[in-house]
Amino acid sequence: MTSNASDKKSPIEWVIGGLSGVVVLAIMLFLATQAIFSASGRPVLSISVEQVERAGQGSIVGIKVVNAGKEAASDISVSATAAEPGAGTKRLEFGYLGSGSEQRGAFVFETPVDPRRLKVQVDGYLQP
Amino acid sequence: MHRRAQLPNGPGKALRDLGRAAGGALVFALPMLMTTELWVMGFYLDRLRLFTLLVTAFPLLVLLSRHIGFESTSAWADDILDSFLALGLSCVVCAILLAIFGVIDHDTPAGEIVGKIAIQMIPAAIGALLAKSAFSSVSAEKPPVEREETYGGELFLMMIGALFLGFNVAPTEDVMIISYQITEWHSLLLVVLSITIMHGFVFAVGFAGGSEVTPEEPWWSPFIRLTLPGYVIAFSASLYLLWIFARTDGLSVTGAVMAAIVLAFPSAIGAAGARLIL
Repeated sequence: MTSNASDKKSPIEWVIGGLSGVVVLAIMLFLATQAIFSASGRPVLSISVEQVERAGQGSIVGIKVVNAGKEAASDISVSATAAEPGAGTKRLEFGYLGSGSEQRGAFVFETPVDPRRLKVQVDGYLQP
Repeated sequence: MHRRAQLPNGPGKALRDLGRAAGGALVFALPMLMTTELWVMGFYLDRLRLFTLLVTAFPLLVLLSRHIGFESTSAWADDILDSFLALGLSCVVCAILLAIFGVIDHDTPAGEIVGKIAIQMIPAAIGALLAKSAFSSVSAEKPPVEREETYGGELFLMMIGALFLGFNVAPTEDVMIISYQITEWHSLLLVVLSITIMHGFVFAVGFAGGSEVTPEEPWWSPFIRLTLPGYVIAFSASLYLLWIFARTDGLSVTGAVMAAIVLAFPSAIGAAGARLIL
């Protein structure tokens, strides 16, 4: 490391600079590869029930929404309908879900629900 | 490492130093203290991440105190003490302002108060330690002290600049929204733009000491030695901040890289422009 303003630079500066160049090039190559080989298309959203827990008199239904598509989605609306009388349909909205990303949430039912008779679905989304 | 001259101490000087540090904390942390996302994160953010933020920030504060600091120090013990002092002062400043803004009150659970203050403390503490630098031009009490500049010191200041500007932007939803709206090609252009602007700063501002950019030097020399490491620092700081603020959770690798590139744009400008304010 140099300690005065001489024209001769310390080798460590070139080593760090060279390594940084490799990192920057790697980032750019990664992005270029993704840009070239990833086909564009709509968001492909799926929803799955992860767990159903009893909470007091009701149930909490943990869900996971995955976007397997190549485009991000926003304002993703999902719903869960339980077959039990009085349970009804519950809705949730996720703000954003990028390509290849996932997000978790939960529906809260006031009555116990049977996970085998529970219907969950993605109702709609916007393309940001 | 440079040793700064010890100035005569006294209650008046100590009060002035504290007042200056509190002012610095206020100036640097105010944008974050008035950001809703940070209030909300204060109660839901994983405590392990908050702890990691505090643990990793402390050595940075000590090094910052050594480089700049709000009082002249000659020993590492003084720098550690000053860092604790900056954190303590920031804690008080943040608590007062959050209470005045109605973000915390006597009904707020203790854990939530701690979370909301802890997340704001680090940028405020950076501000407290930078106060000497930020306000020294208007202070006539002592002449500016010439410090020995090193290449490592330049990179460190770049990191502080990147963290500071990144801290302002990382908690907001906008970084993620931008990263969702753009394609990989946009991200690639953003990398090029960030590096180009950084290099402009490196030339315009000039870097002191051993890393000085001289007119005789070819453009690629400071580009390799300063600009590229600066961008890697900004990118790493961005990724770190996005992880701290739980913005990378559930993202794909491409999504995380693109979000980091979006945040690295202001962080890179912060890194390159650090020399202007520090």
